[in-house]
Amino acid sequence: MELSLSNVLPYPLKEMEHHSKSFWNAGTLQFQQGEVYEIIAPSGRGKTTLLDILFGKRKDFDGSYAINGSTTNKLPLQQWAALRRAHISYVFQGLRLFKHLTGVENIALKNRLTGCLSDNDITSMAGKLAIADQLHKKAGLMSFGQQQRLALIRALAQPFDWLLLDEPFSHIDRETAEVAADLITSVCREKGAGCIVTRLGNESFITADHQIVL
Amino acid sequence: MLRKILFNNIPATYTIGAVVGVLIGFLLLMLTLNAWNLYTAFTGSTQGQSEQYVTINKKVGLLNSLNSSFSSFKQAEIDNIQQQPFLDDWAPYLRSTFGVQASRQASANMPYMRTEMFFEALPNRFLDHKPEDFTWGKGQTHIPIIIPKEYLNLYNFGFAKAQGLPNVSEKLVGRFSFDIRLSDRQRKEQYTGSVAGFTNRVQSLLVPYAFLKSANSRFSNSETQKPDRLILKIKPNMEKDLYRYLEKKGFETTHDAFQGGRVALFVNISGTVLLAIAALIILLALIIYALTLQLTVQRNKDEIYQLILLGYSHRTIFFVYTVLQSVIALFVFALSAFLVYLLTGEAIDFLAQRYINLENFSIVPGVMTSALVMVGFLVFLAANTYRLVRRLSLRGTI
Repeated sequence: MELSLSNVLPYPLKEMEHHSKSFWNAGTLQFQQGEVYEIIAPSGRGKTTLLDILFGKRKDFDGSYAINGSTTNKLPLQQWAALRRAHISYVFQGLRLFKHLTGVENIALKNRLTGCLSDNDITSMAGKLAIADQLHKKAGLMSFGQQQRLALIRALAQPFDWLLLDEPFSHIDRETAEVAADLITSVCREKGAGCIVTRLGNESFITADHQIVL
Repeated sequence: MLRKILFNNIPATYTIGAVVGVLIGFLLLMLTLNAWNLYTAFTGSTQGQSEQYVTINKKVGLLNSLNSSFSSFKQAEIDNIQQQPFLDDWAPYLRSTFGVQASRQASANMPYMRTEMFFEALPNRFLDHKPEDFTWGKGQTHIPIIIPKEYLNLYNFGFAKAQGLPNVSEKLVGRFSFDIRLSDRQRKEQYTGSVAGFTNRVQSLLVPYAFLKSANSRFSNSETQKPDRLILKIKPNMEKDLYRYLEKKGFETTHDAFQGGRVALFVNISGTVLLAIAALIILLALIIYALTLQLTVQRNKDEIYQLILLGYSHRTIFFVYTVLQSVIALFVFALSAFLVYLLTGEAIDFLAQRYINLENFSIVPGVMTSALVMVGFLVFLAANTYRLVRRLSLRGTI
């Protein structure tokens, strides 16, 4: 699945001055499935906005966004739902977990839509990410780092061509972050999926094929 | 799990309160519709229209007290009455042309009783309550008699109390049989009789028409009898015309007969007012319910949007809300219908005890109308919920 942005500039970034190497000057790029893209920028330069556009969450931008050559301007809600179930997965910066549900329930909420992971898969992933003993806790009672890992497992509980990750390691220690990055890379490779990950400019855990500076 | 998320941020008391409100409103709607239907069946029923039947006679003055033929209706007068627009049906009272004596031998708890009396008869279609055994065939020596309910009351609350005699119920009265002797100067006939039923419409002692016609022909030579009293069936809402006519002609009737018309007017007005108040309460209950549902969606807008971002279709979310609304609606409908069934059953029994048998009444039309209102309300709720959920899915906020 190919994602193409053409002359894209989100409305909130229109008034801002962008440096000469900024992606927002042209706003044009084709994301090739199977490649890893890294978006690097300090806060407030539009990293989350860019991922939100790719996920169909934001539509307040100039230019056009096409999936497999078809513009997404008038894509109906049902098709977006289908894309989010089977083609594009997203680990949100705000995580968007249901705080009053347990870890298992949060994952099940996604997994029952897709039937992608078995209980063993979930336990094994949670074990790798060191949250196996936390899964039966309510998400709201976990630390932010644990919640980040829970959100990652939930994002992997579906088939996808693209995995969008918005600062996924911001609250995870280096060792766990490396394990998480390995898990992401191996799952993406296994599925032949592309990956777009944002970071502030600090340490990179995923080896990227392309870097986009905002 | 979806239900756990979609109804998360609304206290259960809100929902329960709204459901109770809708239940009360809906029950009121069904009750009002059924009360209205009950009233329509009552005014439309020939048996229930006691106020539409009027017995008239000429005023007893000095002239006709001297000569009884003055109190009879002349053919021209009857013809004139027949032409009146308010008249639906009429019949003359057939009265006995012979002496009637009823007696009962003394028994353990009743003294010997004997009384002179008279009989009258009307065609069966003028009876408010026709007992099954109120018939007479040639050779039958037992005469069923219908007496005014008021007589039983007079006995129970006047005579029996004063004489220290026991009270009797309607059923018990029916079990007493007594001797009846018909006589004039030439003939005597012996019969037995018993009270077959009671009437609220006719203030007289009624026997089967066939019996009195046959007895009169044996006792009296003249076949034709000039009637003193007529029973008239009045067309609905024509009481005023009748009243004006009777006043003009100097005929009399029991005053109570006109209370029916006034009661009807009163019931009409109070019924309309009640219907309006009920409609207002129902409307308020439905608005509160619709607002509670809207509040539920609004308070869970973040959760709904999160589900959308996880790949749930807005139709799935709409479906969860609508299924629950339908279940609640079905529960409210079934409970209201059951309560209305019980209450109208009580009302019909209450009226039946007063000889008002509403054969035309059924709760089905009222319940069906309420069901239509409920379906309409559900469609409105569903459309509103769909609109809210869709907008939320598109924008992430309402």
